[in-house]
Amino acid sequence: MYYNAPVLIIKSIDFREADKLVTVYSEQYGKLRAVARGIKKPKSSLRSSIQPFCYSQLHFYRGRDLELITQGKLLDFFGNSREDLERTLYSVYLMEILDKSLMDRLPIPGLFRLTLQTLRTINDNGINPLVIRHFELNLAIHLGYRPQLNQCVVCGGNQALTGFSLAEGGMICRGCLPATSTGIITMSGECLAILRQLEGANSSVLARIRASASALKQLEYFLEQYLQYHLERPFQLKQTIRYLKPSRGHVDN
Amino acid sequence: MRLARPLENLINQLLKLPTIGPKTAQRLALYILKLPESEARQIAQAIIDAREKVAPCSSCGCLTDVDPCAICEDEEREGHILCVAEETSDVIAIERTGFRGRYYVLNKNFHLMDGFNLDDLHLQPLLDQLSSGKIQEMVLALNPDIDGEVLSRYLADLAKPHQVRVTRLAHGLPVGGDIEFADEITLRRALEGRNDV
Repeated sequence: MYYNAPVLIIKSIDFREADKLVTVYSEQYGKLRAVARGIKKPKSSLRSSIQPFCYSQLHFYRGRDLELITQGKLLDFFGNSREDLERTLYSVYLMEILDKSLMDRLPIPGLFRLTLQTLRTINDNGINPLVIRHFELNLAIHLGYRPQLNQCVVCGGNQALTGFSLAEGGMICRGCLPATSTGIITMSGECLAILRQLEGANSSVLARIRASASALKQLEYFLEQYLQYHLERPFQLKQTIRYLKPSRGHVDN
Repeated sequence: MRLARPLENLINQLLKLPTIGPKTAQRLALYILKLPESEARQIAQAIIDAREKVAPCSSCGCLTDVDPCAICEDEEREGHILCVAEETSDVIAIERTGFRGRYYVLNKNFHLMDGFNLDDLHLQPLLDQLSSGKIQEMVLALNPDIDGEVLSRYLADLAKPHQVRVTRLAHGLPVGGDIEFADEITLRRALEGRNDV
């Protein structure tokens, strides 16, 4: 059976002599793995369409185990992001999170649009840490892990919310903190306020949010821990970004 | 049907090779059994010899049976140009072009998403060469993909304090390629590097 879909290219790995096994994410069909034949040959017309974090229209033939890519057209190459190391790393980071969080053939249309929008924002405006945090938080929400940010998950109160329980999936008030000892992340009022703003914020709201350096750091730590707790895997790109940070100086988030 | 144990073992060993599936492994194993004994022994001996005698050159990292390798020993080469490549297979391809500089082979595949640690690259011998003052230009001959791009920028940063000219292979359209299917970056770089006809 033949079909086609606009997809984001998550990654491609070597497969047989001149082929690649490409992992793609489609709005309609979810995460798929497909073989791109002869892709390493210089004359291959598919090559540019299957580079990581490309947005491409691909034509597939449904095989027994894997799909076969028969044709491809590049829709968006995110050229600015590819010319800049920091933007490249963060764009690949988005792909890594998708790869590690999505099940095969399970479409989540909202998440597809969120990823595409985030890639475009990075390409057009450069790296704003809040854009990355917005993606991470809303990815968790799309996957069904919405954190409870408005009330204490133990007593239901909404005053003095000072810590976040990874196991309970929500905020804990000062009074209930002693009873919940493990997996608590301390959270400042500023960090909590930003998180609430990031939930479902659009790009114009994102551009207006102001955050201190300490709140950004806390936010990054919290979302990294939150995603790792639920997805049960570390993110390699985060380590690479941190590794390159001291040597380049400007890779900052 | 239960196969003879040595035959089954041979199939299982061949299965470990890349691109070899169960059917191919079985076909190869049966073919080896049909070969004259001397030829089968030659194949086995060639594998043992290659494993025992071939190792990365201590100077450039190219796979060789004599250390330093023939390229490092060749005094007519331009010692001030150092070409950094990922694998010996890349060196073989570059050698076909008539390039006369020297090489530094990383012997590691760098894949961002596989969690490759940049510390694992063992770059100290490269840094030693750069700081020796003999190198004037470092040519980064890494694959023009995301992984190669990130690694190129990282190596260029490392080379900066040594005041070495850092270049990389040009991007452009492949011979026999089609402009219609080229991406915007390739086309842009091809236009930037356009030549008089």
